[in-house]
Amino acid sequence: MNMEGASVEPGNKKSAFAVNPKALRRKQIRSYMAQNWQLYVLLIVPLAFAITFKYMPLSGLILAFKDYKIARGFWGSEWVGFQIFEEIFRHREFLRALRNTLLLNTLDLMFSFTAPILLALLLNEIRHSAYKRVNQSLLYLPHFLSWPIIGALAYQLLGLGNGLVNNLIEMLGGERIPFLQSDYHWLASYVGIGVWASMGWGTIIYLAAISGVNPELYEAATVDGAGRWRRMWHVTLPCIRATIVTLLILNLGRIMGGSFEQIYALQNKATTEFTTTIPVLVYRWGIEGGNFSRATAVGLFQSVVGLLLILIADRIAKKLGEDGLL
Amino acid sequence: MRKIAVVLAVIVLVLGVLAACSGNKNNQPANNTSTTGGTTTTTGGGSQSSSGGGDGNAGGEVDYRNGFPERVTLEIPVYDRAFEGWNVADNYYTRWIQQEFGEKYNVEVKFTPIGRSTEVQDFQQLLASHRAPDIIFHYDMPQALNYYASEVMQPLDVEEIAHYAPTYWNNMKDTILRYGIIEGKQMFFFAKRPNVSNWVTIIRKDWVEAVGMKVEDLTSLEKFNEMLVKWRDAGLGTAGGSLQRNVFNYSYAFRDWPVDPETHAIYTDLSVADFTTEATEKWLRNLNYQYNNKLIDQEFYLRDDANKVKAEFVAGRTGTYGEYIASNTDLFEAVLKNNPEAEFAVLPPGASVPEGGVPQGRLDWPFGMIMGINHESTAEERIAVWLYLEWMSQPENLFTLQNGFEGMNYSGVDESGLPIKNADYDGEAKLSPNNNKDYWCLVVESPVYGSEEETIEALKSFWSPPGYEYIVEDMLKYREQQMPYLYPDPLFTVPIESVAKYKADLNNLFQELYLDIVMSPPDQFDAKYEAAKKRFLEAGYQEIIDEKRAAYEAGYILE
Repeated sequence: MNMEGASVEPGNKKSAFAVNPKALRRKQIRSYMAQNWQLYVLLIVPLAFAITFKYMPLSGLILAFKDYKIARGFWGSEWVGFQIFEEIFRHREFLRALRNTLLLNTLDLMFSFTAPILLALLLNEIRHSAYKRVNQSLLYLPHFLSWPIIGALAYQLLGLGNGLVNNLIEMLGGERIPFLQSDYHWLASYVGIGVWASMGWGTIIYLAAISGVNPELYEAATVDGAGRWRRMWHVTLPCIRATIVTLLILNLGRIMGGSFEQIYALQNKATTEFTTTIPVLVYRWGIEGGNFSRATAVGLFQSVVGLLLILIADRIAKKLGEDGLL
Repeated sequence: MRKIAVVLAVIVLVLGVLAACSGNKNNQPANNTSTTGGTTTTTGGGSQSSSGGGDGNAGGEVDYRNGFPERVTLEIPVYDRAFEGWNVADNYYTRWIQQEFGEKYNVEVKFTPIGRSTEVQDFQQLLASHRAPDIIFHYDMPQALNYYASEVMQPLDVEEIAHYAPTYWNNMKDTILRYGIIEGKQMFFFAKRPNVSNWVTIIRKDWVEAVGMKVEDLTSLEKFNEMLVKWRDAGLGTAGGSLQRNVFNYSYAFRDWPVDPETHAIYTDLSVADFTTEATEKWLRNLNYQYNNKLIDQEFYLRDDANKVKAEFVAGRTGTYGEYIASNTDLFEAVLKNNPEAEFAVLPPGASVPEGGVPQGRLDWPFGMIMGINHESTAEERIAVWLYLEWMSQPENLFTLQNGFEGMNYSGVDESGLPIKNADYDGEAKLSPNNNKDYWCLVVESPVYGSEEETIEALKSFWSPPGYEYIVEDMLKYREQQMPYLYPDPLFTVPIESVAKYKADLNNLFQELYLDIVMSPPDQFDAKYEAAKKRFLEAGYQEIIDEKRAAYEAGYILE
């Protein structure tokens, strides 16, 4: 989009000389706008959305530096500087939450991030198009279930006492497995369920990227005697590398946050070693405890670290010769 | 390019600041009215009989007793208990209230649903976003004091209440004046609470008899556990169980008798577990025994709401279950659908008390709902509240809210004035599954008909599902027996701020610690409990104990 015109000085005097380059520029802009103003009008809607819902709430971040009292409101509450952050960093739950956040999200990144790539590669190899489409639809389905429903389903199926899967295992002569009711099992189930829920939907972008690969490359590779594996490895993957890197950078930003709902839906109170994460603390302190200042401070801390991670990842990606994000 | 970015950033910042500013400005007028309302009232609150209360000026210059000249919006909180097919904010009775009360006084009555198990969160969020209803209520005094301490309630003028709600005031004035004054200001008003309770723990009588025992034999916890062993061996099922959280009244049965007033004052608190007491240790030991011997629901920690506990009982996997009984409960039907042979009895209170103890329990205060007026409510909205309470205090209105309509919910009244219920009525005027209590709980906690005996008689029909009158009879009989051992919570007259500060953290920590202890092998019990006590104290409980002790010693407590 041509936005160059914005650099025109506002207080510029009107000039009678047609050769004045600034006046010329302005004329160009005017005619450009006259032609394309509809596009800018269209832009207003998403811009207003972003400002209203993404930027205006940012003003609430001042709560992190105040001792917020509901009755006194935003401005009436007392400024306390970094006191709330100090409180948080000293809190006994904080370190564990930090560890769990990093642990769960790293695992998530390892499995939930790679699974869609593999799946997309596999789906791409399916020749029978009807079969492929049915499969795709089935794989997308979990994405449309909300986490509370997945959580309820998980306990119905995997519960230790009456879970369907455990009943089956027992019928076949096995031992009941505490999928969600012992700490390390929980961790594995958490990751597994996460992969199941997000895998199908995640393939969409990769499939789109794969469909953009020049078919001549495949033909050339075939002529050179490359089999399916070789083609996948040397043609498809390199061609979608940029997409992978972009998504990876975006996902790295989430490593400090992660899904609150996923944890909350799958947790239970007897298996708490890995279920306290930073988003859970935000919920517990802010929503359950009504301590909005503390919750805001934790949330702000999380976002700042998340942003730093994105910037670092972007820098590294650029160093490695990728396009990066910014 | 860069300039545009700068301009955009500035716009965004300015908008953001404006948003915060305007959010603040919006409350300004409301705040003002409430403070002026406050100043007129504090004088009245301090010494009630000072001015004779000239009718005309009690509520300001204008008298609204016959209604408002301009439409006033009254927002009333109502508990949402997630009853199936019941919309708390819009149903036959809310529309009836609008028609009968709202139209008469020119008031738009709106109901704000408050989740029963998330009520404090809900109120806090509504308050923070300036959308809270005009009444802020809670059943428990410490939390009501919390609301007071966070300055979200306005001081009241008792003369204004007396002026606009004479019937209500006459019913409640003693309670309001005795319990409603905090730090010299009249803050709370109350609903009446007759000394009755409809909490009942049901046991599967057929199971008890199947293992050769009788319900009457269950006179102690030891006997009860003995029976559970037989249940387990016979493959019948276990005792019901649930995750202990939010409401902490588990330790009564394990306390020493008589109760030491200081211990009681410092450790009894519905909102924070008395985790370090001997009573808790005994409770944990018993639970640990029951869990390790597979005598209770092995997944009790997953049952974190009443419906999940009920589901286990209904499915016939557990043999005990407690609820507030009402004539229209679907409990028995639901169990019988799965287990046609099921029979029911009330679990005797002794069955949860160790040998040699007495069945202690929590007695409610003589008031039900504790209410205050939202600090942002205008004078008109506050007066609308009084008018609403007055309207609801009229016997005929209350009767309709509690019993529905003649010819639909009941067919007529018997000689003592009690409605004869149509048990099968399923039309549009159907009452909520707890007989609309969440609407009329603003004035009374359970229906009253004349004297105490008459009331009990009436309540039997109110509580008894057809065919299960004996359950309610037994429930009343047991309560009678238990009465000498019931006592109310300590009532501090200052907010205990550390409770509000640490409650959420301690609640979570409690769940983690107690489940870890209960679910560990018995030989690890002592070590785990010692370590857990230390953690609990360090996480804030010590501060709570200290603050309560100081308040107790300074005499900030009602006897």
